[in-house]
Amino acid sequence: MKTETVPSMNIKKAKNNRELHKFKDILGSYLFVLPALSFLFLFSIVPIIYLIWLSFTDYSLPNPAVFIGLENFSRMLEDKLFLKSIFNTLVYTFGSMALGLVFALAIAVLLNRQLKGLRIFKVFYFLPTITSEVITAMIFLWVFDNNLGILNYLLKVLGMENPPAWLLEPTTAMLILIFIGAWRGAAYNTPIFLAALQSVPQSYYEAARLDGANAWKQFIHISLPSITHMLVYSMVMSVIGSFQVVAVVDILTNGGPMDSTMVAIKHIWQQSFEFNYVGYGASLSLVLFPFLLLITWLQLKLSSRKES
Amino acid sequence: MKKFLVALLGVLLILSGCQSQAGNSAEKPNEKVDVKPPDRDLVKDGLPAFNEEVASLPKTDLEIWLAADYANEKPIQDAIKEFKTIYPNISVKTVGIEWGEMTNKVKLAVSSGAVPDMAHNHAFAFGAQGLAEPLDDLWNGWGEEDQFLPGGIEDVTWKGAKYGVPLDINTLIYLYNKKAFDEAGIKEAPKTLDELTEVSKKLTNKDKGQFGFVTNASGWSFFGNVVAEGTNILKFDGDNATANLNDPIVVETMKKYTDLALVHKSSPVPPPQERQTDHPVAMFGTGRAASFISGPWDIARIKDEFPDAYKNLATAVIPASERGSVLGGGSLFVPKGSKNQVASFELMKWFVSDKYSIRLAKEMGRHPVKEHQYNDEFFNDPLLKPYIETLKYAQPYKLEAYPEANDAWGKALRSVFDGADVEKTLDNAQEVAEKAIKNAK
Amino acid sequence: MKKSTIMKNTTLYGLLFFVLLIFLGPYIWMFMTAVKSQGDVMVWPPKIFPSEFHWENFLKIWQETNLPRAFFNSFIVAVIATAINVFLSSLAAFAFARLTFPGRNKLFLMVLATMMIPSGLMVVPLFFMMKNMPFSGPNGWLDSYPALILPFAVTGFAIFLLRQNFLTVPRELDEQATIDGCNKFQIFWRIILPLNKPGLALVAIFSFLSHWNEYLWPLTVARSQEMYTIQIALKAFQTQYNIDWPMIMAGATTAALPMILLYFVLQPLFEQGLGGMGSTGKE
Repeated sequence: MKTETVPSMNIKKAKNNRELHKFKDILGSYLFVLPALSFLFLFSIVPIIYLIWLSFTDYSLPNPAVFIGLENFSRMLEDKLFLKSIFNTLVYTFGSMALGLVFALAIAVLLNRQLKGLRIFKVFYFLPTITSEVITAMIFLWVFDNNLGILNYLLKVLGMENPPAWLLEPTTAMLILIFIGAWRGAAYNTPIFLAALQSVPQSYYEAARLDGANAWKQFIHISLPSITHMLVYSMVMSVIGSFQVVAVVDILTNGGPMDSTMVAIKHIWQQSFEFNYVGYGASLSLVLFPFLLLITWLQLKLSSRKES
Repeated sequence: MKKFLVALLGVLLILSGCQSQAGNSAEKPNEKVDVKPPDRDLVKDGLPAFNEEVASLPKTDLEIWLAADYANEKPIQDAIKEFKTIYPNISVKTVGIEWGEMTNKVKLAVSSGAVPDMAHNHAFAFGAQGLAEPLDDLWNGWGEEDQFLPGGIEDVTWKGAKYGVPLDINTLIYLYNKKAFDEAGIKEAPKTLDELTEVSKKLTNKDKGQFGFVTNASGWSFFGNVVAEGTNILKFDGDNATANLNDPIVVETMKKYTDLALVHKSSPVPPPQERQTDHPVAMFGTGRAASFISGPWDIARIKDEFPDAYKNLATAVIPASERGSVLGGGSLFVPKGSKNQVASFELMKWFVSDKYSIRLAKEMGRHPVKEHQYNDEFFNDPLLKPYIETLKYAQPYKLEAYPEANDAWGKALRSVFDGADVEKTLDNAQEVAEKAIKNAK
Repeated sequence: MKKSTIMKNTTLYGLLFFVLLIFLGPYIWMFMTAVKSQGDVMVWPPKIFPSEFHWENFLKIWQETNLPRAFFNSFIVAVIATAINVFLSSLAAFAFARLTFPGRNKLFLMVLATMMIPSGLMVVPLFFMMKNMPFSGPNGWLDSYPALILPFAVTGFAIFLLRQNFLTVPRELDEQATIDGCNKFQIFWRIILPLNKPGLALVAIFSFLSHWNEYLWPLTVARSQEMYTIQIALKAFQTQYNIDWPMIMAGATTAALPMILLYFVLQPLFEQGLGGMGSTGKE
């Protein structure tokens, strides 16, 4: 402000100026978030609004959607398979998450040291993440098939007379799916945990060693607490990923035997596309949202607690 | 940042530009093309006669969706090429789509109004769901319906209206290993399900991991056994369809069929995947099973992939008390909303003409729908004899018109293999099917 | 002492190779199938190695199939989508990490919520949106690159991840820059971005991978073979009555190679990025 002005006016102007500045500030901030958020709004929020509308309609392609109120939701109460599919999804989600994280942690600990050629191991350990789910499932078909698969062949060669028909028994079929989920999850999370472990200062370990703590104690008392936040983060991400599982199920078990591996998304997909109840499928997907929002909330809580 | 966005926008515009060149007939004016009749006699060459109506059409771009294993094959592409030389006013763009994805793709296309002009699957099922244009007028104008095998016509007919042109057909037969049969002292192929059970038990050798037969859990394929026993899971009274899934004969057939695996252990329990076509032929081809039920495509596959098994391959009609089986293959139809029915129908006629049908059979193993085309010497192969015999009595799997009923049927068979009670399961499936048929629009 | 180190190292390498076998085993099978003949895949007892190596399967992929075009499409889609994601998400993440504005937390919650929505559920609504896009041909954006690229380009995951990374940059750096006369964009561009290359590499790899491997969405919007992406083209080897295992696996192997290479090159950066992701940001 070079011009000389009456003091009172000056104050007012400065105030105005500050407000203008603040306004510009806010506007500037919005400019940063706007491009990305408009993508998310257009391609995530708008479709959800559309889904909400569809959930109140009877819609079978190619006929137009007809408003039917809450009928879809009352129909849901009788849909026992949907309940079962949610239950299966939860079993799968927690099973593959727990197993995957434990594997990942163990491998990360294994990799967290100075050894020759570790880098090449790290690259190969990431492989399961690189291949698409469809291809992964197709490969595992050749491992676990009861008659053509390599696993049962090996078991027979090793002298086992009646190896289990892995994909034909409800329990083992689910276990196989969990295993494959964990296999991918372990590959995905290993570098994450490794990075977290590497950021733990070496001096902590040295001090512990002086106190006579063995490797296990060091792991429990130093490594684990320092990477808790990463563990939580990975848990949330795994839950999100596992909740959406469908391709592997489609190819390996098709939801069977006896619906024991029917997962939520597959059920919804079948209702909306195979049976052409698009409206009903939309209402089923809406029911999933509270579950997912709960996870979101949890994640937010955890990440904000960490910051404060 | 601005620069970057502008550049990005530019890239996207260019990219969307190269996309819109690919055939959108609506943008072009009705350009006239002068089409002269060819100097040769098309009929003599085994092709449909020159069609004035098609020749007088303005410039038309056809987009046709064929199953992925047809779209790029030579006979199909050659037919299109020749078709275009006769009718230069029509251009054709083919797209290959995996068989199982066709229903969803067509459904979305029809609903959104972005329709192709031809698609490939079972025309009756699309007609039943309001996804295909009725083509009766064009059929009447053509007047060659009586040349087709009745089963082929059935594949395009729903409640009296014809929705397409059958492209090829097939049915199921019993394939067996002659050497294994000879060694077990079995003189001929089984003629009933009971005989099949006896024979399969004899041919099974648990220590060597040998099975007498390979069952499969495909509702479509098992429907063939039901037809062969002289009944149907869907009964028609005029245009009224009623579900018949728990018919006593169906119950008994399913019991005997699944017992082959569950009780007699003379067949493996089929794998749980939706695809059931790969497992039996692999078991048979590698010598671990002595017989299975499948179509002529597996004759070709055994010949290519398992030459040893091919040496001892023999075929017979499905073991059952009556005759016939399921009718497979596929038909072409015009998805609802396409404006180019006339040109599309003409191209369909070309695909099933004598010239190209025979090539489809010889080069692709897809067998013709017109009865006289079976007089070709190609069909003298003794392995194909039971197949051609069965064709006459084969019936299409019409339950497919009701997706939920179709699912219930397939699932019922699967659950029985997984240990469920036959009668109860079929009663439940019957209930679902009845509801599905009632709800169908 | 020395002896025990050798013992220890041998055990370690033994363990490393055991884990390698579990992760790599299926891929060895994939590769071996890719160079088999069709009949060789099905033999019994199963064989790991082909009776003869059919290297020409890889040539066949390039010369006789639609795959090269599909590779090109997947590449274009993945590259552009990744560029958009890295750029726009880092802008937003910067605002969420550093700037204060009304509604910030609510908007961030929205971002997190979009992470949770299974993409499979969005296919139908998005399909109709694509069809009805204004200012385009009669079929809207169907069968076009924008439809393949844009709907899943920006991800909540990227914004979330980058925000976590940005929070680790000491605030003093921005303050110093402000005193030096930098505006916010300059702080973002000259300080935050260069300091977070690892985080950006992380987002880039994950974005690229997800587009490279996406199946359902391209299947729904691509209509002509010219617009097919790899995953769809691979599926075409599976037909009604047959699966061409060698071709599928040759295609899958070829599809995996660029990813392995990309990961190999970016792996050190990637690891650093992961390190940054977990550190506690102080608000």
